[in-house]
Amino acid sequence: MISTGPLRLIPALEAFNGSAEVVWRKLGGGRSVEDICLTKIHAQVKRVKYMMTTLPTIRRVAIVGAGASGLVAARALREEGCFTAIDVFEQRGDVGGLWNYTPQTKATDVPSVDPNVVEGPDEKGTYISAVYDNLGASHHICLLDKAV
Amino acid sequence: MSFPGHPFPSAVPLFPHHTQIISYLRTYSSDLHSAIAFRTQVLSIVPSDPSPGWTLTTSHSSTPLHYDAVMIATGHYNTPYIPSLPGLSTFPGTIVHSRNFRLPQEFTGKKVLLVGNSVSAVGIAEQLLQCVRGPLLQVIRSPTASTTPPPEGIKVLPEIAALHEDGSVSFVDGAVETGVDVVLFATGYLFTLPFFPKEMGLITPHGERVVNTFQHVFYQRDPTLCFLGLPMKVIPFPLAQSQAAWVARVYAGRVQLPAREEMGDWESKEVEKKGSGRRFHCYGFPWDAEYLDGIEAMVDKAEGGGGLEPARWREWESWVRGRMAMIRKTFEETGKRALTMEELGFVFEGRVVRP
Repeated sequence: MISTGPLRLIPALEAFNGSAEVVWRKLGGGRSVEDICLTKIHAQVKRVKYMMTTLPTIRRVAIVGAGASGLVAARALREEGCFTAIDVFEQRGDVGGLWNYTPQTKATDVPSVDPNVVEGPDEKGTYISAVYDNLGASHHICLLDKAV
Repeated sequence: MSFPGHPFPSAVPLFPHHTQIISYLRTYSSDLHSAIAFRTQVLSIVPSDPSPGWTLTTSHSSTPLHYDAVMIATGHYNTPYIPSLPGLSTFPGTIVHSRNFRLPQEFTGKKVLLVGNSVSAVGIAEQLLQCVRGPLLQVIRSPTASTTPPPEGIKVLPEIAALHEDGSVSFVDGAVETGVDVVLFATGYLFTLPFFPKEMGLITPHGERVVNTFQHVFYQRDPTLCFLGLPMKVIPFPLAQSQAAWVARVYAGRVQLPAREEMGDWESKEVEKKGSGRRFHCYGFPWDAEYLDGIEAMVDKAEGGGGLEPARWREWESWVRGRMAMIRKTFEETGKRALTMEELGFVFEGRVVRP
């Protein structure tokens, strides 16, 4: 993606900034060719160093999960107004992800150390949540911006 | 904190109950339902051939679906982590993970050993104190401000050496507790991404973290894949909003990402600071505020106006964030009813700056 040979990129730099003559004048024509080449190389090294990653055009976006993060993601994409598809996939029947309290639980394998073993829903199709009965927002969860 | 621009109803207490949080999320998303396919599980996500893009299969689609970009917002509190310990499988007592804890009454009269000292361990310990037989035994590997000294009724123990068939548990300092009825592991969760090909190597082999991200968000090798909400010990809703605002601008072509080398440098530096294990995604104050500042700066480089606002933490937010544990303690001691910080005696004077 990025050339490591700055010398080979000089023509690209010139195309970017206009003709070689313009570059010559910009660099204060009159200096030796070696000086000018050196300056160009420095400029190109700087450009390469700060070169950006280019992405293909994005119009169709999938979001996996309709918990807090997935919901705000859908809203952020919608506000851009340029996407032709914003599709959120949610395995539960409701929004809110882990905040969907389930009174029932499901025993966990002992030990449980393999990230490739992922629990499915119970026999009724319910995904067990980590929320317990008395759980309120902790200091890590939620301090309100109160409506006024 | 709520999503910026979407306050909770004014009658909700300062620290809402989980039932109020799910209500809030339902209200928040009432205009988003048309975009959501419910009861639809994503089964696989693979790079499209020919590239670019991603091909999804779901439980509801007979043909694969193509997308230019995919945002992963599946959370990381789903798959319990229970460490492999000598004697665990032959221990006669009950082994339970905090994910499956619901009510402290289930442990009435039991001798309980709680393992861990994180957010959920502290929350569960408070409740268990009322119910268990004798002191609550708690394995605390790294004491924190809230457990130094430990609350009354808790007997602090070092790491477990082994569990035994006679129902006793021994510890690394040689101590032994006999007749343990329940070992409750509040040892956190594994990061899992089961729908991606394993060869992509997106998570560490033991599920401690997601690898090859830039700022915990963009997949360095192909930023058309991104993750939301990976950071922990943060205020998750505003954080997710900032990340989403950034991603949306990048995918709209209004904000550029640095070169891949630079994104890789970010991760290397983070690993130097925090290691490559479970602490990699952890922040805590004030580092979470600095992280949000960084995202805000990138969002504000966008060409053109508009778009969802990121969280913009200023003196007030940092002041609250830095005192949140104290405010919550006071909130709980006064009956969990307070609607404002001011009635709990926390008044922002507008002079305090971030430490």
